Amino acid sequence: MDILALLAQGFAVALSPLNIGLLLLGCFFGTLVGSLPGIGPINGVAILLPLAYSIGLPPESAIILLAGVYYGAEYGGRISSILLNVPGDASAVMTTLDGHPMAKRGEASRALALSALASFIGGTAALIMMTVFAPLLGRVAVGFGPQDYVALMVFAFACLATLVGSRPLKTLIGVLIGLMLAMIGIDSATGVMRFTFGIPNLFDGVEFLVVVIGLFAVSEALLMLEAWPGRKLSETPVAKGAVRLAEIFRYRWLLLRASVLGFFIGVLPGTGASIASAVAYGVEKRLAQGDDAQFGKGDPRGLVAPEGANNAAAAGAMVPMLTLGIPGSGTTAILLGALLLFNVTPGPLMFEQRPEIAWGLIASMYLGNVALLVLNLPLVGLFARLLSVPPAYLVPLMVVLTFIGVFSLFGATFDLFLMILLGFFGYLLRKMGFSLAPVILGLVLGALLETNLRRALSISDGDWSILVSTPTGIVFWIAAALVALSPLLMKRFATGRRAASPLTKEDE
Amino acid sequence: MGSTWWDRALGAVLLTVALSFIVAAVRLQVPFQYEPLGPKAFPVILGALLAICGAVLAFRPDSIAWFDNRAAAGRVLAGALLLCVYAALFELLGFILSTALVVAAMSRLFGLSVLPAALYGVLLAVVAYFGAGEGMGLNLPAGELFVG
Repeated sequence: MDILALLAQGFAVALSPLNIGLLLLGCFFGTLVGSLPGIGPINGVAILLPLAYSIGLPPESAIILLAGVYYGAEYGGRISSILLNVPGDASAVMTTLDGHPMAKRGEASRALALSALASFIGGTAALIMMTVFAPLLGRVAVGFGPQDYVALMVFAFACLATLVGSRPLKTLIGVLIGLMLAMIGIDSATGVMRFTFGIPNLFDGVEFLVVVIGLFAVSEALLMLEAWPGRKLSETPVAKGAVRLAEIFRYRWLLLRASVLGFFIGVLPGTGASIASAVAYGVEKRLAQGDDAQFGKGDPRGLVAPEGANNAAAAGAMVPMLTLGIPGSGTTAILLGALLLFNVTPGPLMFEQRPEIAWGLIASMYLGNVALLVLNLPLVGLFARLLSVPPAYLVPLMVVLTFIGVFSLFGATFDLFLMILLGFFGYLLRKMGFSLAPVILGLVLGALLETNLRRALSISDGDWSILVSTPTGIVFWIAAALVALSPLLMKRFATGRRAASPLTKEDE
Repeated sequence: MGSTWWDRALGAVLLTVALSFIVAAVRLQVPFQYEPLGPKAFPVILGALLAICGAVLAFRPDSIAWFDNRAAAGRVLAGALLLCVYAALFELLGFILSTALVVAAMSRLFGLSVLPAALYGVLLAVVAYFGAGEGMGLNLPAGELFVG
């Protein structure tokens, strides 16, 4: 009952005309960036963030807009997967397996409609779970001490290192680079300047926005320059066809499984929509044993399961970001950074102190899911046509938006050059097999990790054993150790069997 | 055609950065401090971890293939230069002129022919200036050369 009252309060925030307008804008833009191959959710959010900040939106409106882009992109990713056989973002890789064969069979519109419905159901089911579990988790997390937070963050990094990127060592290096970037600037506890090289622009620290835009959007522009002209893509035409809504009911249990699985995988730090969709696909294939001959050749089950799961995971990934202040993926790290820019600190207290933001956001996600479904069923033809916009128009537009964003915020050429420099750096790292999400995660969590470590050691008067003094902390340490060692254990048990992993790509 | 040289070089660079980071952290002058750890310890830990990672990377590198062909490398280089030119001209020439020039040049890199590229540059510059600048009230440079 309590929750319903709070949710109603959230709907009052989300239903204001400004917020509805921003939500629709975010959902539309999100579907667009999700469907365009190359520009994933992370770039969409990064490009819009400075614009949202400098036109002076209130924090709850800004986060409603940015979150709309984030989960809207999960809807969009499937369009190019199905029509072009090219995933729009990393989490749509599994959608190509059965979605594209269906399109080639002439069932493109059926595949698009089914996957839109699956996305809607997965997303909404995850939101219901989020509404129930987020406040609970928040209440548990109020009891966390600083030592527990240290252990929790180490656990998050361990998950990230083993599950994301081409090689754990490189992910770890990425996290460390992010953490070290976070050290630049004035130390708030003592007023000491650290690592500023005497440059006044760095006294306040490295601007989060400049790092995000440089590392992601600028490096993406360079990568697209390199990849052009690339292979010619043949687009499957969307034939007009009747869509029977009843068909989705045949997959209700499958969707329920995929949603629950996706949600909990999304909640875990470091794992996100791409792992969720891969696991859901695998589970359904195994459950269908004996009847699985069509998987990979256009079985609707192989389309519905990953689409339901990746939308559920996108909502699940918001839970630790909102309730613990600890994001589990690159995009949610940027959303966290956005809230921090607006002087809102996500964490267990946010649900009590800033309910208009926490509940307004959750309520807006319910509306956003409906809006996306309504937007996606009739407008899919429009999005499909936008897929063929050549990069000659797209990439310059992206570059101009990054310049407008950074300049309108800081009004200085210094930050433009810093952004470009970071873009080159991001490009080099990506070429060398690093993924960039860990860098952003380290940057966002650096101050939090150090503050909690120092606070814990002040409590214990310098005794490091405080880090393993609480049951919660110990659980996180053990979990972190297990995750860190899991690749070694796996290698020992499954000798020679290499798991096919879609996780080397960016953008979660 | 891959080479392990890049990872080895990066490992060495990271090792150097990490060690200088530690030195810089240890040399910090801290006038007062109320807690046991202070502002030095955490950076030193990070530096030590990065040093280890850098060393491991240098001794166990991956093979990295850089470019498929010369044209791709040329495009990336040209794009990088264009970005720098854009940043340098942004305040000097103002938003409209610098944007029109750079957008036109960049769409040329993607194979657009001269006339459409020039048209797109001018169009995007004007629309963005009035849309974002006048419409959304964002701060965009008018051009030092003209306004003074």
